[in-house]
Amino acid sequence: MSGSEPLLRLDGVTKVFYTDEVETHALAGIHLEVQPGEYVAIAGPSGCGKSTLLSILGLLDSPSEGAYHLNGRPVEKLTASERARIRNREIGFIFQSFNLIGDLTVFENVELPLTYRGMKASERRERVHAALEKVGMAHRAKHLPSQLSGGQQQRVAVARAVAGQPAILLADEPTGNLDSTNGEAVMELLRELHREGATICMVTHDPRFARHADRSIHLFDGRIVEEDHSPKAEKELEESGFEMN
Amino acid sequence: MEALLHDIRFALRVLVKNPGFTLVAAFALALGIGANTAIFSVVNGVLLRPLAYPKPEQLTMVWLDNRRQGIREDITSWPNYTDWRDQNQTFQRMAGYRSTRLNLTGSGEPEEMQVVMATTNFFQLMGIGPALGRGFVDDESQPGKDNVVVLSHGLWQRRFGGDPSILNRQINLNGQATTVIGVMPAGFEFPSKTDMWGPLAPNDRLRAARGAFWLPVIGRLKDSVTIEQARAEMNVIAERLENEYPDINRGYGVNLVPLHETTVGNVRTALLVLLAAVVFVLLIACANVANLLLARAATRSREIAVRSALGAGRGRIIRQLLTESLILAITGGAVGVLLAWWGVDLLVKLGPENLPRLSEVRLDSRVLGFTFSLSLLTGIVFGLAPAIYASRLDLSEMLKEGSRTGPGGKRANIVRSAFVVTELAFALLLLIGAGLMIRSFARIQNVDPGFRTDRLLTLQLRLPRTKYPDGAQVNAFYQQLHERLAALPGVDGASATTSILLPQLANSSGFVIEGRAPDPQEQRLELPFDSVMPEYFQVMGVPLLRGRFFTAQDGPDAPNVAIINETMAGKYFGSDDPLGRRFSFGTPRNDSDWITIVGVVRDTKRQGLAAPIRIESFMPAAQNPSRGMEIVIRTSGDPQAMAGTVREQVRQLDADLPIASIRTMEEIFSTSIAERRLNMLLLGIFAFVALVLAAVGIYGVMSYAISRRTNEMGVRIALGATRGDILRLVVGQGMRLALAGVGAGTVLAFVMTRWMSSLLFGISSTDLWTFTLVPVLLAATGLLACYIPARRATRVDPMIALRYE
Ligand SMILES: Nc1ncnc2c1ncn2[C@@H]1O[C@H](COP(=O)(O)OP(=O)(O)OP(=O)(O)O)[C@@H](O)[C@H]1O
Ligand SMILES: [Mg+2]
Repeated sequence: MSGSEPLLRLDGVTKVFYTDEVETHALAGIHLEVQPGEYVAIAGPSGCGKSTLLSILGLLDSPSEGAYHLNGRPVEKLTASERARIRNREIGFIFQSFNLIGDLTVFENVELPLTYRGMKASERRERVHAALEKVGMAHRAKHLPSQLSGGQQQRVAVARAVAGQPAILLADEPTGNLDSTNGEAVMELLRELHREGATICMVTHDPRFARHADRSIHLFDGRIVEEDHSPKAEKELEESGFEMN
Repeated sequence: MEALLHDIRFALRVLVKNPGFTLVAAFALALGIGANTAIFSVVNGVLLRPLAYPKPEQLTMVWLDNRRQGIREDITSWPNYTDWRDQNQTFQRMAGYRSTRLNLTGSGEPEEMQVVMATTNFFQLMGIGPALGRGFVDDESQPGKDNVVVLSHGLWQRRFGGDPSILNRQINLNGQATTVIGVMPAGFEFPSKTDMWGPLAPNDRLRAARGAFWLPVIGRLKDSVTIEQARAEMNVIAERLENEYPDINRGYGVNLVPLHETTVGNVRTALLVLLAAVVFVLLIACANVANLLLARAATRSREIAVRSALGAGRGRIIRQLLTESLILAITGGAVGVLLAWWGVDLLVKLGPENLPRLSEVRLDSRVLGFTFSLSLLTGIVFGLAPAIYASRLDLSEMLKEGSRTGPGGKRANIVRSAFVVTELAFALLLLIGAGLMIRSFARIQNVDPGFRTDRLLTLQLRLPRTKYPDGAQVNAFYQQLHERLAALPGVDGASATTSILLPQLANSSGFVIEGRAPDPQEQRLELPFDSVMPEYFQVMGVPLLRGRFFTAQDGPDAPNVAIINETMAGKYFGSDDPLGRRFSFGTPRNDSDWITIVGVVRDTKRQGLAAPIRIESFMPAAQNPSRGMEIVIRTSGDPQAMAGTVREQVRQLDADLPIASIRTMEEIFSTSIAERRLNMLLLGIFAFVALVLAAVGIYGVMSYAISRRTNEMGVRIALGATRGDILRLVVGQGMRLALAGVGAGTVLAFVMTRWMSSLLFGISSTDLWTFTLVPVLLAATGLLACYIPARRATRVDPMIALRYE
């Protein structure tokens, strides 16, 4: 494993929020490595720091202490616009509350990250169609989000996250607002993306969904308390001769 | 009723609970309603309120229609007046009157009085008699029996302490003992700012001279006679007089103008433009408040949804919300009245003295009624759109989570945007109006009057006939005064003229030029003339173009000489040399009537900075003495500081001589453009208020939109939008509104500013500069107003996207 460079690497990352003279240690000394193509589930009780961890991974926020290497590059020194560029090209976000923009059509929502790249309109159209096709929403391209069900909205959000072909997908409880059928469908979509090679970090409460991942990280009070590997991952690791202790 | 009370109670609670909103809204409305109330009270006092005479609609000026010179409101002669008066069937009465200035001496400081000499039927015609004593009797129109006078209330109070024993007392007017027979009630000042009225007693020569035009005439129509009927009849009479006296009356008609029109006609356009301006200010304020209410209705949608879920009908909800907006509007109206009260006070103080009827401007019941109705109307105008919008909220739509812009977001957005575009368009219209006024004002201030106005002190003197019966004495007095003034330290030069500025009805006369065939078209063209003391042109700084100035040699016994202005030289002599040519006022009876032109001076803007230049002539005072002279003194320092010394010199020569209006030339010019300045200032203030309100409007709408779209901004940033992307997005949306407003406003202004072209000077109502700069200014303001919320949008924490509310 040491031979290949991890896609994401956190070293002793700490995040402290200061509000009204109260310090909240949202993250405390996180070490984490995510390999390219890995599917990591992040679990833990409410308020333990899952979203905070994801936002640091997604360059929405910076660590108070510690180092974060993305693709081998330290991100601390990046300017605001470089961070925006990385968010735009290398990271795809899927949110619990979908976060589609109500005034934009399905097509325009998916197109949004591509427009920030200054991509040609014809190429954008192609990519958006491919992404919508993948999530099975191509026939709703002209609809507004308010005309879709929750599950359909989340599928559009997935399409938006993957349209730009980012290196890494970050999902914060993507099924939190969905019933089990719709939730299952979205998870299936992520699994499929993973099979196609996407690197995924997903926050979830649901142990059933955590099992889909290669590996689960449990957070408690801002610390990683245990890491376990799903049966599938264990099997793969065994095959590669890796020995667990 | 109970429901209404409930509505009011609830509305008050809501308004008190949102003090920020309530204050901003009420203040915007107060500005709009206050400005409207102030200007309306001027319009009411000046234009709408009938003149303060009984049956004022019957009062009509009877002007000579001078078609020969294109003067539609000219004065007439005594024989014409008596013919008009005696031959008509449509007037109850017709009176002639003439304003003059007389010196009041005796008790206290000598003072110049504004006196109106009127035919003895004058008070009966006006319908107002003296409050004290009596008016004129017919006998007093005979020369010699005319030494009686009726005082104005103001003069009686000011000069005589309101003493009722003034009746039958003798006062000294121009050295003539005159009996006070009456005092007019307060407020009667016809035609304007008159101190006293005396009987008009023309001598036999004037009574017979049909060609001597000196008399303005006023008439009172009979009951139930329309002005058209009177016009028809007077036209017949005028035609008859033309045929009867073709030498004199050919080309002269009669022009009836309602007294009200004569009084206020000049200011009507300016007032209506200002009224339109404040109406637009109010509309802008309404649009702003409507937008605030719309935004609030959206945030209150839950409350409204609950109300409708509990069974409140649409009408009920609209009524509830309208109650709120009406309370707001009435609060704004009340504060507006206070603002207006203060504003009117200021206006009356600032108002130029020549603005007619200014003293009649006040907040009366009609103005308050106007304000109250305006407040109600305002409340409905800005309250209706939000109320209807709120009443249409769809319960199921409200509960849907999909769209984050809020329920009915799109429709409300369109309404809000429409309001902002309208606001900006109106603001642009006002700004262009103000811009045009400012440009005109700058133009007129840059007009070269043709002489030096700095360090010039002026004063008016009028020597009474009793003390200075002939020309030699008059000349001696002014000569002595000149010597005294010129010798004063701090005085660079002194001189005198009959008139520094050229009044509309200047001393003038028909003239003939020797050796030039009289042009029938020009025959009756009159040449204004002034008598000037030596050195007049040098003191004034008027350059000599040809020939020479007057000298001490141009005395009463020397040949008559004149200096003409450039315009006259060009018009009558063209490329020929006018020097040595002769002209005469009227047909010369003998050779000594000819006047030789010895000099040509540069044109000056004596008739007013905005008026065209007429032909002019000047004669030496020594050859053409005048009792009334205007003294000019060029000082080496502050001219005002010399006023006391100059006064003292006059007093030493004649202690009984009143000094009228001792003013600097700069004051005179500043007064002459005071009305323009006031118009510019007011329109400028209103335009500025409009600009601020419009900027607040666009700022408010963009801020509100951003606050509703915080989440969207967070998502966009999370998806990789840079600061620049967000700025462009928000500013772009705001500027689309701004530019739509600017575009619509430019078209609107293009169409509407033509109504104010009579107020402009030196530029057209579609002046390119104004129409370029002002839209740019407004667009820049719009940009700034969008930039602030846009910057806030770039600071949205993208983490918000991860948070689920
Ligand atoms: N911007 C902030 N300011 C202050 N405190 C914050 C901020 N964001 C998060 N926190 C605090 O940091 C801690 C971790 O928050 P975080 O949102 O990461 O929890 P979470 O694990 O995602 O919880 P949940 O499962 O409820 O979403 C919490 O105690 C939270 O109150
Ligand atoms: Mg969370």
